[in-house]
Amino acid sequence: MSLIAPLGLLLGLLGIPIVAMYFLRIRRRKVVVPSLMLWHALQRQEQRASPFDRFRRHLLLLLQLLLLATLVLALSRPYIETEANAFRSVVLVVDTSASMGATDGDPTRIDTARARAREVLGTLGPSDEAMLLTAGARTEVLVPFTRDSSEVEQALDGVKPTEAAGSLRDGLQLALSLARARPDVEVVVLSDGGNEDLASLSVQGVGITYVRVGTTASNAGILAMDLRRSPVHELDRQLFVTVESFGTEPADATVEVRLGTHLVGLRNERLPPGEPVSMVFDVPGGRAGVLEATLDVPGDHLPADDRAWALLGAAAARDVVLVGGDALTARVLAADPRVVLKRLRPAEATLEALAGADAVFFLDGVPPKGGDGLNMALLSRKVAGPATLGELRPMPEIVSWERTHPVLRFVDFSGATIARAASVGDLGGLTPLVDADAGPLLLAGDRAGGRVLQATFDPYETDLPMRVAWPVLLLNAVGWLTERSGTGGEAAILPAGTPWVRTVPGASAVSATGPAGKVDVDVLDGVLRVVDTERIGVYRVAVDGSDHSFVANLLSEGESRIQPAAALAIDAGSPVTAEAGVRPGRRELWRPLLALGMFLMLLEWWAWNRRKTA
Amino acid sequence: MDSALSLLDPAFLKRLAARTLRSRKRGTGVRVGERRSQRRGQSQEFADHRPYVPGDDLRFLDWHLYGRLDTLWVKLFEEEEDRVVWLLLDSSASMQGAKLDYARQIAAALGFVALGHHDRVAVAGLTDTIASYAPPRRGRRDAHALFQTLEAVHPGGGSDPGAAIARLPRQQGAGIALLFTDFLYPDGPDVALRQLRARGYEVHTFHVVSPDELRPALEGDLVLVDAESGEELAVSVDEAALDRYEATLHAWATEMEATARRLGVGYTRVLTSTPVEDFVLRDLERLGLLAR
Repeated sequence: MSLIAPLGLLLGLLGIPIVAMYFLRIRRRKVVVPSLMLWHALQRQEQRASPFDRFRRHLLLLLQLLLLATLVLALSRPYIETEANAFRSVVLVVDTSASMGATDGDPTRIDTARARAREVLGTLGPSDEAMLLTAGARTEVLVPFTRDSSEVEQALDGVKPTEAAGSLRDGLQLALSLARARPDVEVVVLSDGGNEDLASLSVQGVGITYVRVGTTASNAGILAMDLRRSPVHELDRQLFVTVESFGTEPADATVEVRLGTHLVGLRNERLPPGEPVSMVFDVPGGRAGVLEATLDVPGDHLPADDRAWALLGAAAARDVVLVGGDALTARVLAADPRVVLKRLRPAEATLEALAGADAVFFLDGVPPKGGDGLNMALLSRKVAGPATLGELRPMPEIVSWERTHPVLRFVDFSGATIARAASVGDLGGLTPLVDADAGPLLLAGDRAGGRVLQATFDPYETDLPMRVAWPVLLLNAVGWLTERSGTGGEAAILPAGTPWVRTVPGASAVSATGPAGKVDVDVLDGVLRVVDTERIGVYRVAVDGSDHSFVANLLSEGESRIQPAAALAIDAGSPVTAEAGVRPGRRELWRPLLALGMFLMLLEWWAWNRRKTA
Repeated sequence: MDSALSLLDPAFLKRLAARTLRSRKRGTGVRVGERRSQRRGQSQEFADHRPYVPGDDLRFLDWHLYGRLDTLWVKLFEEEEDRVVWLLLDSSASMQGAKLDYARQIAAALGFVALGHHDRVAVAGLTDTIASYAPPRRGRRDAHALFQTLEAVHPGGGSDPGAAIARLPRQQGAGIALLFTDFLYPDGPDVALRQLRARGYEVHTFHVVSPDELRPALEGDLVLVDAESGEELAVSVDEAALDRYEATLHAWATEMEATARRLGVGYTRVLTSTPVEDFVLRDLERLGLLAR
């Protein structure tokens, strides 16, 4: 037998005052008797009497001391180790993060966890309760506290590992808070430990058992992937892939990138253990489709991190409207194969005429009222924009420009001559991109619904149209202005398990399919939301006939690092070490001790009463 | 009613007047009383003859025998003499209350009977010394004085009857010593009883026991104070302890009786709850101590 709270034994010191009070209590009543002769004789007799008789004289004291001993023992919470689980209730926390899909279990870690969970359920008595919750990308209570083990077992069958990074911490936090609300609850964590910092969790007296599943660290995975426009060619893309091996030996890896069935690139790399290796694949433009990167490493144990996807958008048409302007500008814009150009006279530039345009270039005229949602390039000081323009200043000298801004990429203003430019009063929320001594020459920024590029000069009062910078600036502006319209950029790459959110005003007919079939899409006030993204792969969302697809990839170092943790570092000072199996239960003895205490109390009362009434 | 006479009811006294205190043996008295003496004397009751020797009182010659036998014989008579009756009351503190009152009443009754038969009745209150003493009286007219004397015996002091009896004035002649006591003597009754026997008295003890003593109305944790010595004793009294006490008391009382018998002393145990008249007229008659 061991004690959970041995300090409780200190209360046993209360026995000293009890004994003292017993012998001192007694303000004995004095009674005069004819003689003590017979009483002395009686006392001598009693001294010769059996120990039992002497015991009887102090029966009350003995009962009181026994009662105290019982209570003190109960308070120090003695327990014995038993075959059966000692806890009345069990919260089963099953880790469903991607790493639980590692194949070093039986056959996977989640299968092992389920088997262990069943073992725990098997130790419960008929009046014991169990709760099942999963800790993955989301924490879910699958079965609230119930005495029906079969219900929990049934729910266990449905527990599958996700392919998303999970938070064991959130699951544990919920389990501990649920456990604290009841007495005698043990939290049984069936997990490979995860890689989170659990030190801030507080166990606070809740029994917690960590059943470790998984044995190996041998795994390699794709940790990062990104698709970018090629710096060399506007239409080309580059795919960046980072892979890492977490084993102890160097691993020979093959990384393959396919666009649909077409092989885009293939690399064989020797991955040093613990060092990320990055590689770049050139993806030729002009074709749309699903780019899939696969990593093949012998002895790999986690499939979920061996594949990653990116969507390569088609060079979809961009409706660009040019209001005013000259033939040269029109030709420059039309030169981009993605651009479908429409020219309007300033008077024709009504809101209706501009509706649906991906970008509107004003070289003359007035932007229509209510056109805030449009992506506009106001490339003349004569066109009113968000920034208020003031008096004209001659020959501004260009001081600097934001070379890294997408609009100014490869644009060289050095040596450009500008006859005059308007001074800027209020920036109107825009950011200067090109600064001259007289103030900003070009400003850009996001407004409520769209992007705005505003110039404080008239291009025809400069030599810019005669320079290379002009067409580059125009095409950059097309790219930047249409970037968010969904037609020109690549689809989002989401970490699996993260909700996908997209605003499509007026969306009505919405459907979505994921890697595992149909998925639910929530639509509220034009905001689409796909929450169930815990499978990696391509998600196709059709909104009123247009495609809003996205991909979900694991890309989580924490999940790829599948080495099971030896202990859960909860409560910083006393980490919960892994149990080899389900540990033997602790049968706490305070209940029977309390019952014994009650019995002794009754006995003491009876003895006292008997003595009093005798 | 006079306080002294309140000891006994007049009707009871009247009934007592017809009784006589019986002795189991003959004593030797100094005055001619109603008791027969071992000394042949001048009473009217013929005892025996013996041959005349010169110097004998010629009044006691049996002339009838001389006429028949022609030999001089002297008639011998039983001499009737008085005797001393000692009423010895244990007046130690332990007798306080009902026991001493009861002892006074029996002593008064027996004293009254003795006075009526011309015995000399002496009274002494015994503690560890002689607490009170009244010299022998004779005749029923002294009954009042006897009662007053008994009333004057007050409880208090220790118990050493041996020492007290040693100090008793010696009385001529034999007699009866009636000792009224609770026998609660730290050193036992042996010395006292032996001393009384050594004086040639016929000794009879009355062991006065109050019902309270048989099973005291005590309970709980108490300090018992010895009425005589003031000694204290802490005890816890419960039902079981009282049972054991009762058993101890009976054993002790039996031992007292055995001691008395062994020393040739009469022993009568009396509970103070017994009516005095019943005890005197019924029990003592049955015991042969009183006779009609």
